[in-house]
Amino acid sequence: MRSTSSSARIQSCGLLLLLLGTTGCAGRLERPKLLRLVTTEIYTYTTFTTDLENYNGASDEATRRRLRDHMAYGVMAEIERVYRNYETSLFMNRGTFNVASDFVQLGLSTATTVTNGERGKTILGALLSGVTGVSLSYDKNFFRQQTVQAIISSMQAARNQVKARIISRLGTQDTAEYPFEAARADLIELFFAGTLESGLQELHQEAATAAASSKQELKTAVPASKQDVTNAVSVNEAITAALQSNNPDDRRKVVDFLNALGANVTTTTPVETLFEQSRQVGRATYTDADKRKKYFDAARQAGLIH
Amino acid sequence: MAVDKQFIDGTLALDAQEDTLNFMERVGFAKTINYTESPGDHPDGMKVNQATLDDVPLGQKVKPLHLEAVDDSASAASVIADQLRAGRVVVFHDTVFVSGEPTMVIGFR
Repeated sequence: MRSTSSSARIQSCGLLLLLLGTTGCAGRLERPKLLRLVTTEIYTYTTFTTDLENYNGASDEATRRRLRDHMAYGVMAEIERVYRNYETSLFMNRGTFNVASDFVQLGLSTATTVTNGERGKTILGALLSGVTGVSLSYDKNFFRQQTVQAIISSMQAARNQVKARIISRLGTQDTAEYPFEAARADLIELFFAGTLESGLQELHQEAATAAASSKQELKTAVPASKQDVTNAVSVNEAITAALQSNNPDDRRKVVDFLNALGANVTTTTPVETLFEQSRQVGRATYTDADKRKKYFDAARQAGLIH
Repeated sequence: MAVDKQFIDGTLALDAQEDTLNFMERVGFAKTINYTESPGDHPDGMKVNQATLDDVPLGQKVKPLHLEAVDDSASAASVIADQLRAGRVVVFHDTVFVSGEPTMVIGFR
């Protein structure tokens, strides 16, 4: 009995420790340290300038393509390295990072992953030479609503798109179709896709698109009056009777009615099609008052209702 | 048969919503099989209900839809009993916006 009780106590303590450990971890969620491979520059500025000189001087396509790919992948790796460092610093400091105020402090036109001072004689310095960054018209209220995680996800999504395009073009296009100059333009785009400006811009566009589409989807039905319902019952019964009848004159009324509303049917059109078309022109009146009026006018003119 | 979802303005009174649904059923050759407040956030805090309409085949008679609002379970029982006596059957029951307020509504046919 005693041993059972202490065993239960031990189990309870173990469970408690496990729970404490779990919640502690959740509260101190951290990213693993980045590998030196990621934090250290490997494709150097000197290598890059040598590759570029050789690329410009090469006459055969095989050499030019090899050097183009070497430069493009080398620069891409550097962009990746800088981006990962930046993303990690954003993520680690997310609790104290205030999007609205910190973004303004960073400076709207220079809030990129690498400041001008750091660029110096680096690959990115060479890549971004003469590039001033993207300008952004912003709404402070919109910025305040964003979290660092949302911005990081947005930046990553934009980067993935550009990266996929570069890799695809390097793999399929020769240097005539996709020279290093074109690759450089794409690499600059890749770099700026990993900046705060881009992340926020992307989020802003997504929010605007989502708002527009949800407004479009939310077209409510035009309220119907008692008279509308009475007329709708009459049209429904008239169409049903005409399509079930063998009298060509009755079917002619439905055909005239449908054609007046933009359909293209004849008395030889199968009944199933005429019925489906009747359903479609009816549905078009749900959210459109003008179409509803035309629907009843056409029904009267065709002799379906009086 | 295809199912179609349509939005109804939840600020309308119950009889206006009933007329709108009956209108849609007639011109669209369909019957309402479910009616509920529209899920999710809507722009500008719109109060919207969502009707699910199921197509009916040519010639199928669909009785008019009748909506009744109920306050609590006690009144629900009496409302249902009254409608059953009138020859109607329950089609759906759910919370929908009526005049902008969430209300339990029972649909009969």
